Amino acid sequence: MNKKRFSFKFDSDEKIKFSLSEKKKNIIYSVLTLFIVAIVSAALLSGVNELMQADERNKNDADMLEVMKRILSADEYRKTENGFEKTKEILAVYEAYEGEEIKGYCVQVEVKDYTDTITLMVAIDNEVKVQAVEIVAMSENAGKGIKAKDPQFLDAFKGKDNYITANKGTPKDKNQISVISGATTTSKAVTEGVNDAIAVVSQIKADVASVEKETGEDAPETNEIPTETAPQEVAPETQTPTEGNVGEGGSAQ
Amino acid sequence: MSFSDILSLSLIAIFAENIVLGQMLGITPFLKNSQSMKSAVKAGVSVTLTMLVVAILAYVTEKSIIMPFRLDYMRTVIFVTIVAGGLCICEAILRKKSSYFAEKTEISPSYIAVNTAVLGIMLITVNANLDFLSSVIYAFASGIGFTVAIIIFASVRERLEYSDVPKAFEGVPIALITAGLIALAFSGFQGIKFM
Amino acid sequence: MKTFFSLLQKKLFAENAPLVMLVGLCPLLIASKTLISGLVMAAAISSVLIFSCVVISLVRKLIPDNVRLVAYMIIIATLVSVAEIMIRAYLPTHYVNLGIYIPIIASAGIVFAQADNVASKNGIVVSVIDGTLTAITFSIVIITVSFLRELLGSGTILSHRMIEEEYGMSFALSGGGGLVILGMLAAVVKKINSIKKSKKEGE
Repeated sequence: MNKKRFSFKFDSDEKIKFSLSEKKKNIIYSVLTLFIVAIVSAALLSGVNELMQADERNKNDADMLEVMKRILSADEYRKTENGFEKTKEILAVYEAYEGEEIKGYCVQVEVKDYTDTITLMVAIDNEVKVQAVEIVAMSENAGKGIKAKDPQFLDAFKGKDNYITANKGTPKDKNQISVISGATTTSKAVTEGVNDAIAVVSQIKADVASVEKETGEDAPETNEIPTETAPQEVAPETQTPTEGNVGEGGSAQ
Repeated sequence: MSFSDILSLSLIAIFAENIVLGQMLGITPFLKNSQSMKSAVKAGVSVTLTMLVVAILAYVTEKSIIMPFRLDYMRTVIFVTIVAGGLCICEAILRKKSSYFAEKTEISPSYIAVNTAVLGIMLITVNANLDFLSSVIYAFASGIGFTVAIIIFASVRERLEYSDVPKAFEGVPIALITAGLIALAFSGFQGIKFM
Repeated sequence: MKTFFSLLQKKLFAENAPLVMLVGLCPLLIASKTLISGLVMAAAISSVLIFSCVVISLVRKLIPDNVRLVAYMIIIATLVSVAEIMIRAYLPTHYVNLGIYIPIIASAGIVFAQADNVASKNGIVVSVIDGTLTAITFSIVIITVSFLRELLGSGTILSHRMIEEEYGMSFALSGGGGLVILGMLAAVVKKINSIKKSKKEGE
């Protein structure tokens, strides 16, 4: 590109030409222009962003509804915002209602290995057991990791209810799955996403139980699960040291 | 972070996910600055240093400005401003302080600012949610990867000067094809499990 | 109209932005694995190119010389972000597919070269026409490359199967394959250029 054109006018000739005050004026004018350009650009962007966000949310919800119907059929899905700690990874949590009863939860998670972004939908039932995992979207250069779409790999998550570890070779433990060879990082990222989803649902369950306890209603069944699954909540959180509260802004990613 | 983690991260950045030949970022400067070995080394060193500084700045702004104020949609503008503004300020200071720089060097800010590898490394480290140490290592190793790739390519090109190439392929076309074949060689590293 | 076509011809062959001037190769290579992503990238780059020409040719006299680089980069990045938000809103699947590669346009050489070499020196009409021609050139190249890559690599066109799956060359889908295909196209353009040149000399 043009190298000369971007040279700064601080050459010795110009130093002589400009008096000091004029030079200062010049710098102030330049900085001011830049400032105005930046302000205008920020205003424009935030305006467009504001305008688009509502639209986008509706569209995303409609797309997700289709996926959820496939993996956890229910009458109605309601988005929930309460009872769990929001992190950058959790894009949305839906409660699946059959009549007035909550049948299970669908958690939309976004995971990343070094360069790829994978969006997952994890269906979890009332006993905090994974019902199904589906890959909603995957970035272009996934190439080698695309095998994670492999149904065999995703089916392996079915019925898991605790912190899952992904290892090479055949699984020895109940909560262990084998990674896809050649796509270890991607498999591990997907497993991490499923773990996040399990953690969120057990948090919600714990929250519901504690609310019910406070109001004096007995909820013996739901009370049991969160205490059992308590350690999982800690484990995934240590892997994602970023502070949460991105909330809806996180869905912009 | 143990030593083996650092080693595997840098090996991934240099070989398996080489910024130019694996991820295809910064191809334009890669092709333009590889005509001679001297310019290749110059470009490699300047890109490596810029990447290192820029990755640190990207991490700091992401954590201190973009995340707290939810400015996700402004990320590109902020990063581009950091790169271009920072380079302009550096250049102005260098030109003022050292007469050598003002007279001798040809490096201008646009030379580095219009380089997708630099913006790419900021976005990759931030998007992958790497912690501070990892992003610095990843950026530095990517810079090394760029240098390695451009030196290999420059030495191949020096040989190409003396080879008998069909007339239509002379110059740019054969350079593109050579780069593609080197990228094919580099894709062999993707099968190695570093983790 | 005649001048328009002769200008387009000049842009397509003698001054072909990606294949002769070697600018804008990164978005070209990254987004050309499938025809549809190539189309999305072509639309994104074209709109950014044309709008940046409009804006920069309008404000070119207000911006002092020494901060031109920063100001232009901010303007281009803003337009890229607007394009990114639009793609995210209306084509969410492609947004996920193209990932970080839409913001990358902000530092791609093609937009900046256009802004700096044409829009900063000419009035709005000239720069918009020139920007449109560059956009057309880039679109033609990226659509050709992505068509070839999708056909050779996965044997499909817009996800319709054309060639049996086992005959797909995965090399065409890798970045190296993209570079080789680009090299072939560059050779074709070079050949056409040299034929034209010899014709001119013959006259």
